[in-house]
Amino acid sequence: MDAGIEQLLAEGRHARAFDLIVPAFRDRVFRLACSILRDRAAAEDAAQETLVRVWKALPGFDGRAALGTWIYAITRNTCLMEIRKRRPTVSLDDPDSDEAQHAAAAASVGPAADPERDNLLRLLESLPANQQEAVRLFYLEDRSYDAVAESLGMPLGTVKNLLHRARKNLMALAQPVHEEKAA
Amino acid sequence: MNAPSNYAACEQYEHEIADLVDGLLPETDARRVRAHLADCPRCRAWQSRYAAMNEQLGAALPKPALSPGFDAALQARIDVLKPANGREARRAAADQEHDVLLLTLRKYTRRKAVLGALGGATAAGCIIIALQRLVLQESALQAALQGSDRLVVFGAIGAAIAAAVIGWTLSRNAMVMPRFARW
Repeated sequence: MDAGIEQLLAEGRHARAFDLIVPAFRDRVFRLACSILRDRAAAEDAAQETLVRVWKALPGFDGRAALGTWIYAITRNTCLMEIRKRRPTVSLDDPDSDEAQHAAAAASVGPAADPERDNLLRLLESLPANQQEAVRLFYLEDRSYDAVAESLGMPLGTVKNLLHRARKNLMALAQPVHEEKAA
Repeated sequence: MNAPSNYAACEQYEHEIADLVDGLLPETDARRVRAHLADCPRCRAWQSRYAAMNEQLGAALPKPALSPGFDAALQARIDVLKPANGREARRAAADQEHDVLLLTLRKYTRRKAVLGALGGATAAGCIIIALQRLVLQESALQAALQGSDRLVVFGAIGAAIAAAVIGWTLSRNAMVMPRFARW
């Protein structure tokens, strides 16, 4: 897949290469944006913005990094810029904040109200941002460590440790709830 | 059952138990971990809680998909950017035309120089021949103008003038200016 695209790029056929890049990368770009922004509409906008930036920057792509690594780095930068654009003084824990409402909206997508599921998502929200991103992306990417590592631009071992810490933290946070129920 | 002092050793198994639950552990390692699980109630409990957490997270986290209009919206944004590339193409064409013009100018300048040199050499030759006749022979001017060679002298002078005029005219008119394309 990448070889054909990189061949076109080497020949300077950027428009044709872009036609192949979009179907090859758009879904993973979107999923990465989802894991960072936690909002479907914002993630779709970020995916659009990312691919437009890729189009503009493609003539300058020098092939020093793998194409996927380059595109996911652009995605992460685009998402971080989107986060910076949001009100910086509002805490993520403020229930009236946009982020909290986005998180609630994201949580409300899917099956009907389920107290256990809602509780789990609340616990997930309490984890550090990098652990949350890794966990969300891991399940979005059908539990592929390799895909998470490539998208986040981290070594595989780092991703495994991050996910392990995140899930251990979740289990520790969830234990009191289970013990209360058992009592 | 493992004593509390062995819990540190059990923690070493957690990564592998997680991989076992995720189906990512190689079979040789899986056999070893299963053997440990058979002997260790703590790790069995941990495995059970991890598997439940894994399943809950997989079910709880939304898996959004891109909207059907994503590609069309992206294409519309790219199309807006394409006129900029069109301007670039016109600029490149103008640069190319400029280069062609420079080559043409160099070519006609060389031709002008050659024609000028030929004309000048012819004129100089004719003048030298005429002067030899006029100056070096006895009773030069009168004899030349009245003698039997006068036709030769007049002819040589006329030829010199004609050659100079032709050379000068060619050098002035040979350089045809190429037209600029309008854009």
